[in-house]
Amino acid sequence: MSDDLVISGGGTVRVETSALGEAALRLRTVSSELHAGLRDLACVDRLIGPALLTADGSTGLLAAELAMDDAERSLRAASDRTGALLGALSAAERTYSLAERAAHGLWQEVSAFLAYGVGRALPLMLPFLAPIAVGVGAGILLTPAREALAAAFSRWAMVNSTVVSDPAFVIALRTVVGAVDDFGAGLIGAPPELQRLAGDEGLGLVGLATAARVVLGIANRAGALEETRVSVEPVGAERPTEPPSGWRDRAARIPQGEVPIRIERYTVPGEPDRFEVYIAGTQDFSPVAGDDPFDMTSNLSGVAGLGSGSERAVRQAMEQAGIGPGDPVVLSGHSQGGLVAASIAASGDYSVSALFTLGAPAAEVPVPAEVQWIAVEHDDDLVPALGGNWRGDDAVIVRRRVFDGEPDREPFAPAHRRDRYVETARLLDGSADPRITAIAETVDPGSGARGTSRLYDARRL
Amino acid sequence: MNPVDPAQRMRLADQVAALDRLIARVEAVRLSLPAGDSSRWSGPAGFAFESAIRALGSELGRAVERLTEASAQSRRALAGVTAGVR
Repeated sequence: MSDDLVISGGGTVRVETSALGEAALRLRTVSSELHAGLRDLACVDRLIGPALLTADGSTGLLAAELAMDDAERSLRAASDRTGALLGALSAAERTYSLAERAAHGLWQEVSAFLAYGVGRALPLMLPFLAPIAVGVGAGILLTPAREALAAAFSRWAMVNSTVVSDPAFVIALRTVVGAVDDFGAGLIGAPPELQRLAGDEGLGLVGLATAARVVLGIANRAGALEETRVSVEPVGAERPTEPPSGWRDRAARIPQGEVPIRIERYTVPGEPDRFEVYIAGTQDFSPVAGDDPFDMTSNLSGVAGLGSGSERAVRQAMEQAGIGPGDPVVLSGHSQGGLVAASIAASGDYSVSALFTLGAPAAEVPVPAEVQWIAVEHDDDLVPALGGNWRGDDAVIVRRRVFDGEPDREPFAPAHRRDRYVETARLLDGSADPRITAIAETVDPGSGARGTSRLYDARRL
Repeated sequence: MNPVDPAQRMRLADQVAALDRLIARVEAVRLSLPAGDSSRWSGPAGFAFESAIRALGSELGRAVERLTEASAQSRRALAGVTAGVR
């Protein structure tokens, strides 16, 4: 298990700009210490004047004076070197980011081109592929041992959890998801120039959200993934609470059980009340909507940007908690909860002072630049990859690889578990990266804040 | 230097104390330099960073060495003055 965090300023910058940033931060401290040291040395130098030096019978003081002159030259040279190194680091950070972004753009272009080609070629291959697909499907449906087949698949998934937790698989999945609109364009025979202009790589008019809408449209015809109205009720009484002590604390406060929403209110004398909203991930993995709005239907609706049941549930809870449009609010969410948080932040309906998402498929949600966003993603977690490619440089993306060797034998995405993200958030609390510390300062309600917390349950109607 | 002048002796003692504090300060700066390993970023830029950090460390090491020499010489002069007073 690795404790290394990679923090980048958005996009898919893979260079450890956090390492460069931390080095620059240290060098800035070194630089100011050296300036202070030179000032101190000048003061020491003035203590014994030239008259005393020549009056001194021994050569001791003169030798000390010469040594101090040498030391001053060395300190001055060190100070100059530090300044030059700081300039070089800043240039390196900018250049690395530009180069990585250019490489990523090229990779997206190539994958979009290939996906479009596969989409165009698929109808030609259908006569050969269809009988195979029909045969396999019929075999699965008609076999009397369907349950045994499902159990065998579950065992296979557990044994092969290394595959889905492989960072290379996660990158490949993100590429495929990011190019799914190009595949669709190829499939319906749209002119490639039009797709290039309207797609993710162009104006961004069609993309993952469009593809998700198509899937929803098809699924709805089969009675699956259908949205419903939702209702929300507070659970239990309000309880007194302390402000979160950091990112780890925020991650740990995200609900895990059946009650998916937690809202905290902090009162600071002379200031508007501050709110913290914590949103759980997917609870129900069925493709058919049941009672719980934190389900697969909401996942698809959320990616499609259609206002999912879970998002509407959180909005209702926020309204019941008395959060007004101008009240500062911090939204934290894991998995689907992060997608919901990002969608609410993107709407501009609330004054979101910070967004903290953990393993959320929210890369393509158009959150405005003025919302401070820390997005934590594990390299070996496939769920964030389902949200497509990062756009823009506004979110601060924190990456960590959870498993150095073999992942735990768990059936589905062991690196996606909330407790793994809590651990990463703990590491984040120890980061000196200025982007992280700046956000932490703005969301800290202060030690004088008094808070209450309440849970909210949500149901589909 | 007049060995019996207490003001001059005090200034000399101040110089020794100030130099010792400065040595500790520069030593702390030297220890706080960023790690010069290129395991986190590689290639010519990593190598250049490594070399620059090494050179900066050496320069600070030289400064500590010369400050230590200045402190030792000042201490010796102070010892001589103090002995003259006795």
